[in-house]
Amino acid sequence: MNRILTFAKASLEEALEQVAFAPLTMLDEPFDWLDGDLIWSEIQLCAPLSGTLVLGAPRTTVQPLAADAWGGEEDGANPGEAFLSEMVNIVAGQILANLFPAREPWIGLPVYGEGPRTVAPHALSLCVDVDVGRVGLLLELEAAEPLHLVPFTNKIAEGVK
Amino acid sequence: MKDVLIVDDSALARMIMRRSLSAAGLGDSQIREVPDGAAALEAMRGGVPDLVIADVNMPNLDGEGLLLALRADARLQGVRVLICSSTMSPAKAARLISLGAGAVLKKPFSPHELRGALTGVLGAS
Repeated sequence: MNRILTFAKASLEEALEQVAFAPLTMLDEPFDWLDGDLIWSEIQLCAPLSGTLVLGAPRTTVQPLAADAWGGEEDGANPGEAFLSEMVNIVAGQILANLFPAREPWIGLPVYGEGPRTVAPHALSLCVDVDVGRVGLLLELEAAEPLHLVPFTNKIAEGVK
Repeated sequence: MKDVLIVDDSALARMIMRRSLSAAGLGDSQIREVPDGAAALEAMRGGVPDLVIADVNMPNLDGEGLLLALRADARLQGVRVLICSSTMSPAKAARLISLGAGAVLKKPFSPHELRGALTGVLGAS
């Protein structure tokens, strides 16, 4: 697996476990980003990497995950939107902070969307199963980013087997 | 009883922090919540909290801007601040501490990590 995707998977796994108490299983199949029932949240990666991170899932998958995260304390906000937005924020921050521990990560604010999501041709993607359905992760890095120059820190050495 | 101000644009993150504070032994605190740094400064006109727990990445005024505003205000510069963010590399954590944060915490956090951070920040200053 691509080194950045390895970090993305670890970050998603930790966030899902901590926020929604949901373990995940990696799937080798592509995620269906054209599903009309999809809801998603995306966030800009500003530095040290530039690009966009997207997290999405069918509404029927997000609802039980969000319910577990909120634990019955929804405060009137759209629970699914709040859940996905917090998740994408956490995963984006974690990816950058873990890849570049000696630098300061900068990300934008989550943007929520519903329906099919166009996928850039060069996008890196993950599809995971979380018991209640599938969750997709897209990483659309700006093409000029030299992935091979990502420093191979001790942290990465520990995380990548 | 402590007065705690949670500053985060995510309603879910605020709820998680509220729940976590209760689990960490601060359940009897008066907890106020606002969605960004500007709203936090406004809220502090109504009373200076014992502790501000702020995200970094927020609209209007982010956590770093809030920290700087607090340290520049004679009335508020003694307020203890815990910064809690997903974008928390060691480099960023060091700079936020140098700007006056009492402790930093990486999202997502465990109750144990929150307790440690609270001990750090409430034991500081």
